Amino acid sequence: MDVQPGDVAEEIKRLQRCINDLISLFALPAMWSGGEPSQIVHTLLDALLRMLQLDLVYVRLRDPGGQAPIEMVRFAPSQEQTAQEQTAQEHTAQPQEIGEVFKNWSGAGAQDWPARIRNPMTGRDISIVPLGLGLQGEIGEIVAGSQRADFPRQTERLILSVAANQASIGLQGARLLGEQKHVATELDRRVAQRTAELAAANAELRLEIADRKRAEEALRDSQARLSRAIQNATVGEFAAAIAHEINQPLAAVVANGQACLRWLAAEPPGIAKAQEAAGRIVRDGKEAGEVVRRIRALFKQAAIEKIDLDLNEVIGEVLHLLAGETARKRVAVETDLGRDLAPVVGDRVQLQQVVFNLLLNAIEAMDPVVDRPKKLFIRSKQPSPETVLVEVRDCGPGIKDPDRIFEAFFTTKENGMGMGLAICCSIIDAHHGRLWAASGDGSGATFSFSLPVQAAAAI
Amino acid sequence: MNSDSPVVFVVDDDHRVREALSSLISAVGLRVAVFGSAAEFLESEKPDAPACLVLDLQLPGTSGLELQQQLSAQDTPPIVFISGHGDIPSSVRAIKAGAIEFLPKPFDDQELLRAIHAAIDQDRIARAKRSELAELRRRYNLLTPREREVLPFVVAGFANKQTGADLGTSEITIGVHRGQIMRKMAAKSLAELVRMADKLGIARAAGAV
Repeated sequence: MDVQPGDVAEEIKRLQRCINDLISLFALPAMWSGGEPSQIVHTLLDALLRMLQLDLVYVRLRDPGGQAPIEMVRFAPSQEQTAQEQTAQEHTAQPQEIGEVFKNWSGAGAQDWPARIRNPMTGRDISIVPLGLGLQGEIGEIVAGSQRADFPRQTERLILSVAANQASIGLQGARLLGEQKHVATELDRRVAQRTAELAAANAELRLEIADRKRAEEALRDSQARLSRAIQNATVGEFAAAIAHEINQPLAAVVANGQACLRWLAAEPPGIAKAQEAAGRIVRDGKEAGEVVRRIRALFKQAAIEKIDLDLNEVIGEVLHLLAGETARKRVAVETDLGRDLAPVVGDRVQLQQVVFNLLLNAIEAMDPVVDRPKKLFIRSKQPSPETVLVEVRDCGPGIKDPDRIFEAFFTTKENGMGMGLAICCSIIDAHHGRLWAASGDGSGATFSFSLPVQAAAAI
Repeated sequence: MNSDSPVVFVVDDDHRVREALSSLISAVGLRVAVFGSAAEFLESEKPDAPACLVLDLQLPGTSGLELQQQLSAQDTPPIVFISGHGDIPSSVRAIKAGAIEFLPKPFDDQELLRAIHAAIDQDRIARAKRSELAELRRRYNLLTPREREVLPFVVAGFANKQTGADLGTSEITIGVHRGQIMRKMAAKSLAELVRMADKLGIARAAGAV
């Protein structure tokens, strides 16, 4: 075959373009890395359409997940224009329609494909080149079409097969990446699920802890109420607090007991009902016992704040508090407070409490006194380097029962609870001191307490 | 137990007390319904029967005394108060506001049951009065406006002639009205009609003989 110089120049140009195209194709996978299959197909179709001036290029990707295949088609720009203009009269060719055309030969060997088909966009016949993607076409296929008579030239075949190979590699990578992503997402999902479960368990635990805290706080509150009542020693308040805690279960016990008796006395006896009532008696009785146990524990547990205290100050503060009471009852207060008293270590509020109770008792003890002036005498002194002593003396009728007077619930007052002195005793005990009472000759009572001074104190 | 058998409502926030009272009250053959709060009691459906309300003084939320005040406007059963502490001012207020009894906890069953029975009896009488009054109102509503004008004169003892003169009509017409009034009010005698008018709160015409 004769080769003309013009042809040679033309051939060289074509080969140069081919090499350029091949270089471009080799650059594609770098662009694709990390991309979706649809992106890969997109750029591939654009590149082929441009390089080979194709009239159409079509790709179908088989999805190994068994989902519908992805189809994509590109037409030559001028024809796409036409297609858009045609939309008014005719429908635009969709990838699926092109796919319909090619479906008959899909999966077949390249040799079974027809060399020419009718372009659904233009109605003209075009030459087509089908190529499988993947080693056995398992990824999908790509079909390039052109109405040029000499399509495909050798260089075009080369470019198409290289493009198909590059696309296969890119798509394989994308598929692997997708699987990895899927695994990663699944892993993330599982981690998230597990995290959520852990968070829920945590929240539950937190709730439980909060519940327990609330219960503890409620108990502390109830104890605080009771100890405040003790400290304030307004007997009424303390009585009300105890009454509230004990009377409920007690009322239930009594009513259940009576219900039980009535069920037993019924004709015929309501044995089951009586048993239920008896069961409730046991339950509520135990609860009442628990309340009593807690109240007793309170007396022991009352935490002592340890600070240096000048007992004269404490006495002064309490006298100030009681000024109204002494004035109202016309009680003359006489004091003999020792100078340079050594400080004691203790709880200010509790020791105020003791002094308050002793003074209030003394004032009330003088209520029946009408034939002589009411005199209240308070003395503080330091009889030894280790001890500070406080005495409270009244001129009332004296104490009939000095042995029992410190017992809890022992009272000589009409409205008394018999708690005041018992509380004083427990406070002084807790301060490692001593509290005692003496009845004067004929009239009056003296209450005294001693506390160790700071140096000797070992609280 | 039929629907007319008396029922005892117990309102106490302490479940132990509720259980015990429920058992005790049902042991003497009374119907009992228990509630943990004033709101629970107010929301409940109550049977149409003579009743008694055993009410705890110290309730969380609406207290027993507040509930008593709220109920006072309505036709509610008489109240027996129970209380964890014998708080004198509260008990005075409760009794003044119409409570049957004020029992400090723990209380004796006989005291409680006596109070409950007294309350139920009182409610039974109040209910009978209410239904009698409702019946009288129904009859009174049957009267024409003119008959309602004539009624105060009849129960004041006016003669038909004088009533006719006062109302500007004849003695015979008044006689007809009087007959209609006696029939519609189902009064067998003038004395009975007078008692009915008193119950309805109808003032007698002035200048009675």
